[in-house]
Amino acid sequence: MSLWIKRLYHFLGGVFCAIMLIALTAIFVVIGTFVESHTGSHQFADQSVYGTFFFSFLLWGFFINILIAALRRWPFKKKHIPFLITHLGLLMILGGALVKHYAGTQGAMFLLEGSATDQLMLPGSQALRIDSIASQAPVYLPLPLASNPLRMQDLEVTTLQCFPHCSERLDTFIKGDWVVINGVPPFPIDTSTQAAIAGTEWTLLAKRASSIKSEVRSYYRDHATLTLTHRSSGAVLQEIPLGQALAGTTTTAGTTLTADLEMDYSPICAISAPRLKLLIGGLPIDIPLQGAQALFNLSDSGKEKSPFEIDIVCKPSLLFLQDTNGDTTLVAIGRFGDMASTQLRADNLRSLYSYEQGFGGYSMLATLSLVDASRKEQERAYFDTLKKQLAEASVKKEQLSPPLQLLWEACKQTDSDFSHTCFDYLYLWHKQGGWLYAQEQPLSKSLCLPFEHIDWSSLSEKEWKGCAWSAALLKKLEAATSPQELIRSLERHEWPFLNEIKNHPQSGESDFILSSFTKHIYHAAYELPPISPHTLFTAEENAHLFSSYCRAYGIHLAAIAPTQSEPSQRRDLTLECPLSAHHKLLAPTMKMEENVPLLSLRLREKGRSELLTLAYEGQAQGLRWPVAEGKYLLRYQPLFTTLPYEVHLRRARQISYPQTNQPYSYESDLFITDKKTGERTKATISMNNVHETWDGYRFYLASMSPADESDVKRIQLAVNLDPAKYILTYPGALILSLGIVLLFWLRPTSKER
Amino acid sequence: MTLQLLLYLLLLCAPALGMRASEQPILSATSLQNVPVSHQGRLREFSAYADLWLYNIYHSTHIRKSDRLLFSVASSQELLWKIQFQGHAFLDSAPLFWLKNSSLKELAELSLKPNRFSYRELHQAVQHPSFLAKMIALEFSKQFYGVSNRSRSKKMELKNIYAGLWVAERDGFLEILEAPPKGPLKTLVLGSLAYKAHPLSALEESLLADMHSVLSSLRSYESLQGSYPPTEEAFAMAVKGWTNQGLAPKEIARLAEDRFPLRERLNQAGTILKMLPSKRNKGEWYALNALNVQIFNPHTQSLEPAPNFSAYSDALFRQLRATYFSLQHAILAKEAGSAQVLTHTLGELLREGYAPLAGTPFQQVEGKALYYPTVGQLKAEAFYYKYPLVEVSLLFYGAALCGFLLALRLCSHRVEMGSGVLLAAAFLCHSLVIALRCYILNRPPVSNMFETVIYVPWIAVLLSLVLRPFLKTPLLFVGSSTVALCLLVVLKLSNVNSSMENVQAVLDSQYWLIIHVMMIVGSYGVFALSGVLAHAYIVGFFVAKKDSPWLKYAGSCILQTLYIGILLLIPGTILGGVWAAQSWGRFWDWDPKESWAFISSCVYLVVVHAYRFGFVGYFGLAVGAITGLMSISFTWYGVNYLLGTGLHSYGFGSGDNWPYYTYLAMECLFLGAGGMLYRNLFKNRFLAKRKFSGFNDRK
Repeated sequence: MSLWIKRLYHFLGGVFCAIMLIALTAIFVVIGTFVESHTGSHQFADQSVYGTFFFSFLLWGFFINILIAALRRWPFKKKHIPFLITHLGLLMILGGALVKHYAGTQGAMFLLEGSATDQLMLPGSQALRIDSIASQAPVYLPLPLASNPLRMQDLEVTTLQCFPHCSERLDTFIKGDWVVINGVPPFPIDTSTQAAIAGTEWTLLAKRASSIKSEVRSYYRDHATLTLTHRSSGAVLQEIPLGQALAGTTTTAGTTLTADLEMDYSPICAISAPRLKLLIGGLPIDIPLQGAQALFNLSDSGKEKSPFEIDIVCKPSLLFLQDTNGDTTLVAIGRFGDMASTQLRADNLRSLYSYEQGFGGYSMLATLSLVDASRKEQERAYFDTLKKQLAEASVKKEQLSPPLQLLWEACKQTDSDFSHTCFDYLYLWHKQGGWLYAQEQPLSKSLCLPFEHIDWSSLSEKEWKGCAWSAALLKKLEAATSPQELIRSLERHEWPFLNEIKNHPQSGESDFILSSFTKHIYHAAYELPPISPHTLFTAEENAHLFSSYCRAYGIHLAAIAPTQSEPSQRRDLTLECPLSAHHKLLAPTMKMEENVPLLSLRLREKGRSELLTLAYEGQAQGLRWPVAEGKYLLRYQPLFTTLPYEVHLRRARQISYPQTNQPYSYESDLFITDKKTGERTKATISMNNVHETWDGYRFYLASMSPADESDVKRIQLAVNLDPAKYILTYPGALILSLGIVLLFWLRPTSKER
Repeated sequence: MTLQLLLYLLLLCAPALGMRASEQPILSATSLQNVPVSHQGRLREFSAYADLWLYNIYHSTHIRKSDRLLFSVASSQELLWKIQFQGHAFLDSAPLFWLKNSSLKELAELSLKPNRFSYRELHQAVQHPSFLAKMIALEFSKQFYGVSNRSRSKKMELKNIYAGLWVAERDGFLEILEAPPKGPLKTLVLGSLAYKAHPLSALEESLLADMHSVLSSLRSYESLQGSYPPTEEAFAMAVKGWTNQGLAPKEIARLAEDRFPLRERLNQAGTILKMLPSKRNKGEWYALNALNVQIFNPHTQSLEPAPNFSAYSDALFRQLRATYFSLQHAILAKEAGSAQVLTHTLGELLREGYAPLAGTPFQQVEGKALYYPTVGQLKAEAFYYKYPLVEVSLLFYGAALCGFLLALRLCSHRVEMGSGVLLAAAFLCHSLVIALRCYILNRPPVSNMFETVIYVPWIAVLLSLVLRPFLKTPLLFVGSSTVALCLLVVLKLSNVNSSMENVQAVLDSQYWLIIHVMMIVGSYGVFALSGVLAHAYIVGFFVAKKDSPWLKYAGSCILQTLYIGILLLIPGTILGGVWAAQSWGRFWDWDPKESWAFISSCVYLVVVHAYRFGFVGYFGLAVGAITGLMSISFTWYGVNYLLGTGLHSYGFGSGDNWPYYTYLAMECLFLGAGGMLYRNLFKNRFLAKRKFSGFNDRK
């Protein structure tokens, strides 16, 4: 028996065993590196190779082998010194590693510029963080729990199951097959329901759709109605369902009508620029459904006006549309047919609301801004704004353009209000339509007076001629009804700059032809024969001439539109929904760092029981979820310990090589406060430049983001405590190196064998 | 041998000589000598900069003879100087852009055979729909799989292709949601692509990188518009507009600074020839074009050249600008003679201005600082780029190797002496390369792949020179010159980036670079030497007569080199742990590089233990040295290029790995053949030995 023990003793301390151990370890490590490369996961390799029982068995094997190998040489002789030194060094290094493993600390710390903390995260560990509404400090329960179930105050925590990998998404309005809005009973998807929100009865509809745009279009088509009103009399002529108008050309009130609904959709801005394009009796009318001029009847041409005005009527509706990516588009349609929409991207919620720091739960708000007035009211408000703007602009004459200066002078002479006069005139002209003001149209009394006193003699010769000639010539041209006809009549009159107009891409538009024609006349005014001297005209003739002068400077009602819409005309509809996490189990990937474990829990408090699933928050940054009616907050995250130091990050910076993006240095300024003595140390740490406290805690700058100045810098500090470093590891390394030298060269170099 | 060298040098000079005759260049060889140019965060000597600039696009520092007619200039310097004043238009059909990736060529429907393409061809090619679609698919996949699971988004704006390009994944396939209607993407059709998002293979990674580099080099090429900065035109127009509006002069000056800040215009004045240091912002250099930048003077109410913005004195700056303006005129008027004189004056002024700046620090941070190069460093850099030092030492090594082999064969002491002289010359040349790089870059020469490949054979040769007095065999020199020759040839064939660039921030620690990296990489050199000697030993073992003294010497050479290698490798690795503890916060974490250093150490430890305890003899030692060399080669190359994971990522790269696999396979074959022969020779002794050794090694 003792023979066998002796044999075993010699085997364990023998060189054959040493060689076997070294070779086996090497093979293991080779496998480890390939596993890591294949999976791309250091953690996977760690767990499947370096962290296995067999691997630690090998390392302990080394320890024993070296120890016995030394003991076998007892009693030591002089020739054993190199061997002993070398293997003592090895033992010290191994011992250092063991001490670090059992008595050291290794963790990470996340800091934003300006923040301070004494909490150290132990990466890779798993714990439940429980915040109680009653106390300040959070409690960490390491997982797996010490006992299952575990009682903590009056809360009983039971872990039910843990899954290796899941994906987490924050659900907003659409949760599974139901739509949840605060204050409205939940309703299932694909059905429509009625609900009163903020005093209005809304039709609510939720759908899953692959094309948001066509879904919105078809809903709008089915629910909106067009109302045709006679422009001058204001009598309602006819009501046409939009679907009918969109289907093709319809004949109404003696004219033909075609309609087209256009909108843009992007995954970021949701529905934008929705507009209804109508063609009534050959005249185009554009009705924007969103923006400052929403619902206005805009016509492309300043020349002609359609005899009808069009309004839209629609049932107020709210659409919740979920696309294939799980993102929700919210579309609201107002009672006057205008639209507002917003996009809630599941992976990119811009903001969320938390009640009582999360104890009261989380919610998401969506705000939709709709027009709350009919087109007529809107137009009135719009023109009021315009008037106000004009009044503000007309305080100083110098700020006005030459035609308005002329009118300003006339108003001053007759003691009439400039902004009113100007606006009334422009409005009258706008209502009348036409390129120039028709002098057949009589002016109101208040307008007559200033227009009679327009003093054309203050104009320069060139300007007067331009004004008078263009008025005269345009009158002839205005008879033409289409752009083609305009060009033809210009051709007939052998207009010298015709080619310039014809070659322009916009040559198909009457407005363009007329405005460039006007411009040409003004430029060529020197060449034109003198026209009748500045004699007295009637107010209407002056108004006509004045409109021609305005055209030269591009002044008409549409051109001086107010830049901002009146907020009082809009109403914000705010919808709120509770936020909830949606977890989907996934097959775990080999890259373990990317796996998000999922934990399901049962929580019991005062006889009430509830279930909760939590996804792992690797950096302890996500939401903490309330349980037990908001008494506790829970998060599944790494374990934290408290350091005897508080670290305050003052500033962090990334310095690049000049004129490149290549980083040159990363630096962080820290205040490190010893919590026992209250002593505060200032330290700047950077790459290859650590801070070490007197009792061995070392702070390293591990990473920094973002690289640019777009946000406050966030740094990760690696913190460690290695008590054996200066006693075992480093001296061991030195002794080992010395031993190798002695071992190799103390004996005669050429050992003859 | 010397004759060959002369021929080689003559060949190099020939293009320059031939060119002189045909056209009178504006730039003479010496006019801008030793003038510093800021490029990628470093100041370089003008000729070195020109070579580097050309190399980055054209992949050669010299314009090929066949291309010379299309380029209409002879050298990189002249080319750069011509572009500076005339813009890129004259080069548009010259084959300037180097492009090797054949799958890229296929996608863009370029012809597969040539590797150089003109701007016209490439500009057309990159708008090809199949090219764009593939690029978008690759970029999407890269970004999609590049981030961790949690923040993955199925909709992404691919900003680094073009702002406003939105791509999403639907049912596995990619779909373009939005694309800007203008710009280079106008050929793109919205809608589904025939590609799926997938993790990229190494080949696709390199394809994508090549696509990006083609696009970015085209963009930077397009920005070469001549000596007048394009922003100036807009600026002058705006000022004219404001003047016409009758704004007050002070208001115009304010608006001008507001809309067109001077610093921004100076910075954007040009992308090449940044030769003027900024007065206010140390380290910022402006292009020569900045001399044309104007400001609005509210007193005279007119535009005038910007006041001195350089770190040079006002008088010098005025002179500089006057010279530059006259130079512009002279070139416009095609007065080659006076242009040459003016260029010369310009160079003198720039040198004069830089002299007081040389050697001063311009960026200081915690614990380190960046310095402007001294004039000596500039000269050294020009010298370094001018002469093909690596090639020359390569030739000498080749010659030395031939000589030593001959000496071994003839047993002639004389031939050996001669070869020794050649080796010394090669070593001097080699040392000069390393010394120059050290001197120019102010750091030990081991911070990128090129430098380590230069350093490893240098250590091998150095070691052989040191060991020669102790081990009396010319075999050491055969080994070291073989190592040097092989590695330098590999270096030349592999196109590793040889330019001198700034070191990565994480490596920027002189102390640890010297201690850890130089030790570890040095050990590679030592092990390479022992590996080559081991090959010689194994071949000799079967070829030479038994127990010849030659074999014994070779064996002890292997042993000694292994000892030295281990002495460098193991403490070096442990010191690496100490550095890791300093820099990453942990001593040892089984990172692949660490792991492979450990594995190599294990291999050598096994060999040495086995030898010391009599399990194997010199033959086993040789086999062990070769196995160890394979392991070392994997530590060096394999971890960087094959595994490509871990924290030592600053050396990572990708490329064709077949030469490396071939090497491994050849070694395995060699070892296998050697083992078989050995077995046949000593079948009986082999068995007897195993029986004998047992567990009783206590002697």
